[in-house]
Amino acid sequence: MADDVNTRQQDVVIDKAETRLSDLWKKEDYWAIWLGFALIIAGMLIFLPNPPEKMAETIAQANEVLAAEAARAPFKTVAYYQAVDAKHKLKGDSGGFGKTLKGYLGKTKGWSSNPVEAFYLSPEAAKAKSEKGVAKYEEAKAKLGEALTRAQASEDEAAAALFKDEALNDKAKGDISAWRNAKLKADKAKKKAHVKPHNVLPKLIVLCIGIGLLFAIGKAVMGESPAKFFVGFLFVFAMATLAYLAAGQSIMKTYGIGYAAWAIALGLLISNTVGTPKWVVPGVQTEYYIKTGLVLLGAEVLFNKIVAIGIPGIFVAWVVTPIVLVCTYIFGQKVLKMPSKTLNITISADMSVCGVSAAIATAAACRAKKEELTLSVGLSLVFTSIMMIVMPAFIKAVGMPHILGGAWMGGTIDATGAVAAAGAFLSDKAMYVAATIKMIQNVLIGVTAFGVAVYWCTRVDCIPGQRVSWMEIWHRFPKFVLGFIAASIAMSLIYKVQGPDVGFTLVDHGVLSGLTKNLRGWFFCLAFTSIGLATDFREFKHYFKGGKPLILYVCGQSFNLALTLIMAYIMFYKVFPEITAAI
Amino acid sequence: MNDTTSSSPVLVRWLKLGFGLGVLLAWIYVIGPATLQIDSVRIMANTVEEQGIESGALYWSDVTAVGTAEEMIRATIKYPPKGP
Repeated sequence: MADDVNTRQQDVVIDKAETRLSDLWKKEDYWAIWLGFALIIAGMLIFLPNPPEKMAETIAQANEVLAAEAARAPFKTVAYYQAVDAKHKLKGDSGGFGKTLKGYLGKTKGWSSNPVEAFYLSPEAAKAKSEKGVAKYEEAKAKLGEALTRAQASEDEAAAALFKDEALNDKAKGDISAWRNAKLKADKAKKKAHVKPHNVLPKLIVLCIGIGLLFAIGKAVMGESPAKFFVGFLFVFAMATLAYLAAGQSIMKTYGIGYAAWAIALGLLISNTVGTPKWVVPGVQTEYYIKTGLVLLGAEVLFNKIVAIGIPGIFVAWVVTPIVLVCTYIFGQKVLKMPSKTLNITISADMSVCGVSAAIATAAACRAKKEELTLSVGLSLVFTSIMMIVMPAFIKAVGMPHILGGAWMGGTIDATGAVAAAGAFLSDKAMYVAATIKMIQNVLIGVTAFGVAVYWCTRVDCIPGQRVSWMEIWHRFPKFVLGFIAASIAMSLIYKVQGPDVGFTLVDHGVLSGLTKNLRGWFFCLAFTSIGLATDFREFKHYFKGGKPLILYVCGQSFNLALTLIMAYIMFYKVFPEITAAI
Repeated sequence: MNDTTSSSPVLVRWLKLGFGLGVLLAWIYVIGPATLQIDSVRIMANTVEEQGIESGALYWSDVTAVGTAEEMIRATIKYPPKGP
């Protein structure tokens, strides 16, 4: 009996907490908080005091231009876009120590047919690739120059008519849009004409040792062998690197098949064929990696950021998402009668909120089993790959307005990267709307994880009818969720104090981009590799019985598609048409 | 680590691993490229490649394009072009 309980404890994504003072240094939940906060504080110390040169002046000048141009013309002028570009170029992690540090936290490079190029590209090979791209870049640069001249001329013509002539205004808008497209192409062509040689292996070795030592310290204090952990960790890190390698292949990028899918697949392949070697087992620490990654993810949940990017999006993301989440969960319990509540809520959150990241946070908050998280992630990845290609093609075929289409895709396609790709498939405006709606929805991950943790402590993990004391709730509550919420609140406050422009430069493109998000990516990749390495493939049969998870996902997603489309139409075309027109 | 592997002979287990790796490699080198014959897939491949979108990314902060979108929408909301 005791063995059964122990086995169940090992299977869940997080373990059960009991409160003692020593928990502060003996429990993974707390270690996740300490490690996560140590990294966030390190990021703040590195990036916040070191803004890019002339940041304040550039932002002030750009905002002056934006205000003046907005008052001058009824559409976004060339100078308007140039001011936005000037602010966008300001990045806290683009110089000095921050840039060097970021270089050491990166993953393998992208590749098409030769995986060696993901690790190493010689100066000769880089030069050969650059030479291939030079002609295209020169061509793109010439087209960009022509497009800018044409856009400026059309704008001047419209200005000469005091922007009263609709035909001239439309011509100017069209030429400015063509210039923006030409700029995008020229920027990409420039990268291909300036390919730099690289050798990421030494950096990966340094990163592996660094992350390994970081987690080993916690293991040592928790009373486990840091040496055994470290040896096993080396294998898990190597597998995680292979997952990043596979995810970087060009076709895999097309389908949005990221590191999570590859990490699980490679781990499952090893554990279900030759078996996970015994010496690797101490390094297979799913919960430890996930919880630490989630505390870092908390720093990216910036509540006040969304206020600056639009009320219509908030309505679409924050009204529809909770309705779909709750209805899908109830549907799973009452209609499908899913035996596992944890699988039900994990699939519901993953489908309605933001895919894999929501699944991780929810599964950890409700103590779902590893197999349940894997199943939810698998469903999400399959449907994301399909939806990111089918939805924009459908929107294009039926002639749906791109802003409506963008809002629809932003609210329904699970993964953020896939949303950006699907939006870009249509147009830049569709991408702007899709990506911002998804970003607003991403923030819900914090509320969802906290709400699920509280609901599970008070309603699910208790005997029906029994009153649960506050102390009992505290005993059961997954403590790392508090670290996740605290990181979110702390970083949101910093963002608010700095304002959206400085916050964008020093938080988004400093603390987060320069340090925490890369490490969070590695921690999640290590966690998914560990899940694969610890999972028996046969277990999935039990969870997939009757195809209920699939039915739940399809029904929930269908409801999500319908409700999001209706809400997007109401918000962008009935309630806030002026915002839609300005986009 | 799990029971599925322990009962099979060593050679069979390694053959299974080889087969699994073969399937994954076939997906990367054969099946994936073959799907580029489909128009929508080819357009998506070009979009992702041309714009360098991290389509497999999990969260907003992982996607560069989200930053561009945010900056543009924020400007639109704060400085909506109204004209004279």
